[in-house]
Amino acid sequence: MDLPNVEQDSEVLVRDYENCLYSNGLPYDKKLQENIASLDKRVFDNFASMLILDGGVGHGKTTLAVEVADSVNKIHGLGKIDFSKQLAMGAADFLRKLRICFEEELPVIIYTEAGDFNKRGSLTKLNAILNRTFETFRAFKILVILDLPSFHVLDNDLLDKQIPRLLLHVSTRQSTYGNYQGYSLYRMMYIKAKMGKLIVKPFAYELVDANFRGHFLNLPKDRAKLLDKVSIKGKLKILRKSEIEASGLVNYNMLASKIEMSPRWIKAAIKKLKIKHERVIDHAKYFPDTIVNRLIDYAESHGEKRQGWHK
Amino acid sequence: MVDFNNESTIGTPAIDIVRILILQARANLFLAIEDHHKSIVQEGQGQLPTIRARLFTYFLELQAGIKRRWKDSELYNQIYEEIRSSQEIPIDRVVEIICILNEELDKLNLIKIDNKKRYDSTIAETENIEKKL
Repeated sequence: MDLPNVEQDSEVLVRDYENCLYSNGLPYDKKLQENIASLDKRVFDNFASMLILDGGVGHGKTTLAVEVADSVNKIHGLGKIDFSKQLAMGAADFLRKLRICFEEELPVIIYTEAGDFNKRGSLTKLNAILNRTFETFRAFKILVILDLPSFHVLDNDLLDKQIPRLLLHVSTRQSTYGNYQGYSLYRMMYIKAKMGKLIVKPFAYELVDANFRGHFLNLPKDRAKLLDKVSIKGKLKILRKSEIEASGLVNYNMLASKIEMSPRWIKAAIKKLKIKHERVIDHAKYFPDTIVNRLIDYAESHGEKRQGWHK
Repeated sequence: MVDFNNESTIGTPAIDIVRILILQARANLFLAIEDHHKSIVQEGQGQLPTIRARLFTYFLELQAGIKRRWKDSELYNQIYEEIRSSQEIPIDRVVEIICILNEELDKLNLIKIDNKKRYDSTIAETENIEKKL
């Protein structure tokens, strides 16, 4: 592949570990700041733009995502990002917070997978959301930072639409700092093509030269703690959902979908049959899925027509 | 000679064939210069007649274009006369003429190889734009 050589930033930066900043006043080097500024300009010029952060679990993807988002906020004269509005975990949360960001004119949003990808079909869902979102929300002028373990999971369609503009591959985290490599969309396409052929997918990053590379420092302790809290909260929610799925519990809507009756009918039938719920999670009653057959028998004995109302 | 009825040339524009002929004549001339120097080093008589003959062919391939580009200038007339009566032309003058013609071919983008646009590849977005993405 005929690509220009990586030019290293000659500026020597001093690390201030106490404040988690380099001597340039940022938690990362100047070159990344220049790249972020050019992405932000693109968003301002009304083009869809996405920054992808990928890397193994615990390598500092979310840390760097927060640091980048903070600096985008700073470009627009705002303070550090508000986790409750600009950090989305999972698809539904992302769509909700994207709307909030638009309404409150916030320039950047982070979409972190937070285990969302473990679910079957979530990738298709993610790709569909991203495709649709970027067609609809392009004019909203929001930079989307996508944080996921490997950008290989993204659809080629998304790359063909030229939406991801920069990939930051995070690797080899140390106790006080992390390392990243930056790739343009042009190089991302090479990486993706190479990943398709390789058994050890991350080896593709060794085969394509990075546009730039550098380090980033940890978040200040209090902010890191806050991020952990938010992140764990999101992960717990997903864990709870998985727990429900694994234990075979169902709520009114799930039963309605299985039996092909309305949730209202299900609620009335359960009351009539005096079936007790097993758990209450997030104000919703959950029943063991063994009641499905009882409800079907009840519906048939009362001559109810299961018409698939939900379809 | 080019076979214009051959399958590989029948669909090729004449301009491309002429370009190749010019470059081929130039390459032949360079080969002759190489042989000449080899012969001199080995205390032989050199290959000056071959060089002169190949320079003449090379110039003829370029002649019409050069005449038009130089607009019948003094330089054109001088080189034309020198090459036409090329029995006497020394090797140093041959090299000078080759350099003049090289510059002309460079302007025509026939031998220009450093035409890749330079950009700051450390800014990903600049690279994306340069690659028309």
